Amino acid sequence: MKIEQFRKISDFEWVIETDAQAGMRVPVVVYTSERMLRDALMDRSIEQAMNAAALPGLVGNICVMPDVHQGYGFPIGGVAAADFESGVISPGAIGYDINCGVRLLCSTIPYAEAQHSIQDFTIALYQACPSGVGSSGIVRLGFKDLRKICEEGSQWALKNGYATTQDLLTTEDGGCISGADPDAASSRAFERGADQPGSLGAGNHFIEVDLVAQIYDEPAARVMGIRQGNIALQIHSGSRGFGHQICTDFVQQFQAAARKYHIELPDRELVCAPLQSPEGKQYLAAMRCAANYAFCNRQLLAFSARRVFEQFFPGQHLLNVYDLAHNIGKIETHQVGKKFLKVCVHRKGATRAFGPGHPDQPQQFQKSGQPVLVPGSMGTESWVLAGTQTAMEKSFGSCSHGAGRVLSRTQAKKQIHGDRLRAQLMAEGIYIQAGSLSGLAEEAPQAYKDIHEVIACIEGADLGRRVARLTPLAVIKG
Amino acid sequence: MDAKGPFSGFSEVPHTADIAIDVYAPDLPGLFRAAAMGLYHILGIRKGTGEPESVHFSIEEIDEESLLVSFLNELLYYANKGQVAEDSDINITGRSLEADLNLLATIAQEKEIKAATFNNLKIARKHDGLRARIVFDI
Repeated sequence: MKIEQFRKISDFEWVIETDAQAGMRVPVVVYTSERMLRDALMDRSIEQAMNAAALPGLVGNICVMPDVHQGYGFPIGGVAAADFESGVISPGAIGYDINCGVRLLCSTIPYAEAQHSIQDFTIALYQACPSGVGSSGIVRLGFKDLRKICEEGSQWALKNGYATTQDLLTTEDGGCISGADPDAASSRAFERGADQPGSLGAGNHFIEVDLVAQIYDEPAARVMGIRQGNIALQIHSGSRGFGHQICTDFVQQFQAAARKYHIELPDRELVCAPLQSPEGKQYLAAMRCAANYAFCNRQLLAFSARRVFEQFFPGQHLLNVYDLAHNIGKIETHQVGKKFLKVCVHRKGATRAFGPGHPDQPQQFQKSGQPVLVPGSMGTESWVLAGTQTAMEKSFGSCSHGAGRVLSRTQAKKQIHGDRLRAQLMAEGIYIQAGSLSGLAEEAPQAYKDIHEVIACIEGADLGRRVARLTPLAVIKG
Repeated sequence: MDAKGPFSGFSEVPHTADIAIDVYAPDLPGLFRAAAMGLYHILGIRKGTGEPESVHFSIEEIDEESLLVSFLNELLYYANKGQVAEDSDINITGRSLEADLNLLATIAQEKEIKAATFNNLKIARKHDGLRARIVFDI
């Protein structure tokens, strides 16, 4: 694919029409700058978006975010909406880490008062929030409680003293998606999930201590509880082995289902089943279990982090700003052309970004639009945005989920030494607590796109509006 | 698990977000063993000592590629339990696989893999044997 084959709508909107590749059912729209689009064309992400356009029953466009990069079938930073009655659901277009997402908490303590304790606080956080390969969580649950988490998500945490009502009010879907059926998930998923609630995991998951460096939209920041100069905390994790197993099970099962329903796709990882088929309904019910597990997992991590915070900073509080999913399939209603359609929105490495007035978001964000959390790479800034009406009209209420990778893990490890990187970040005043130095190198800032360019593209396309900028003080990597 | 026979093995291939390997072997069981070696290499597994546990499993899928993904995800399941296959006996007939594994406890694992994927997966038959590229979600 060459840039000349795109139809330029604006400086931040590029279209690939359906005649560009056989089998495309809807166009692909890429929301990015020309420079970043040229970068995206260096890997197979755009090709993957065009392949995804072959999924049956899609409506509107495949939407591609500025942080797009190559995934394993569906691009990371991609959004696809399938008609609820005639469309399909694709586990690979949601991802193995179902409801991988981000939570932001903002404190009442100014940096000036906390700065001397940041390192010790981070060490204590590292000890209190289990992280790394195969880590067990802060709670070990029996089968009965695990089923409850599947059905209730963060409501289970509330009932068991791990959450506040305010936490749930500031979590996407209140931390619980209805329609989850534990019987739809395999016994192996339960086995893998039993000891992991309240664990961070490894890879790109992190806990980051931040400083709220700048506020851009004071009324929105006030509503979100973000105060300039204060300490904040981000938690990035998902559904751990429970979600991985559910996706694994259904990608495998759907290989036969796709044949049964005569669905032909350019890449078998896009395998899918009709939403109204028994197979599609079973996956949706199991996927929702994993989504609820992930909401509860981040809630438990927040509980643990909050306990450490209150020990270090007595009398201060760590308040939930928002918790959202960026790997998920959601049944939502969107306007497509002149019609309002019930669709399954697949967001793979993309965040919900509902604009002002949308009923499916907490009451306090009705005027501002929902908080959109866009973490930068380790060592770079993160952003809090607000959802916009344009996102509702153009991207099924979706926005970028992060900076987006630009270097492969192999290249990153060749170019960057974990120990040197840690020393460099420490010299910049960012304290690093990592389980693996090679893992640290893979997640180096140089391996990611420039977050400022990503944010500029989001604003240029009007998919999000700047509310606040966070700078990192300490990072915990699994 | 060691690759058996000549001209079998794996090599890592750059991938933006995840990790991919090219695997090659003269025959299908060899290809599966080479893929298993690649998987364990990415995981950075270190074997412990002690009495191995014998495990038998069988898989039926719609084709060879599905068998390969299912086999690797089965090994990942054991790796997540802290077990690594030291040796294996793999028999593939049509769309069925029978495997006997000797599992040792792991003492260390560097990386987490979420799953083996079907991304553009095709087992190709070349003049010198079989080849496939496997993408793992990290």
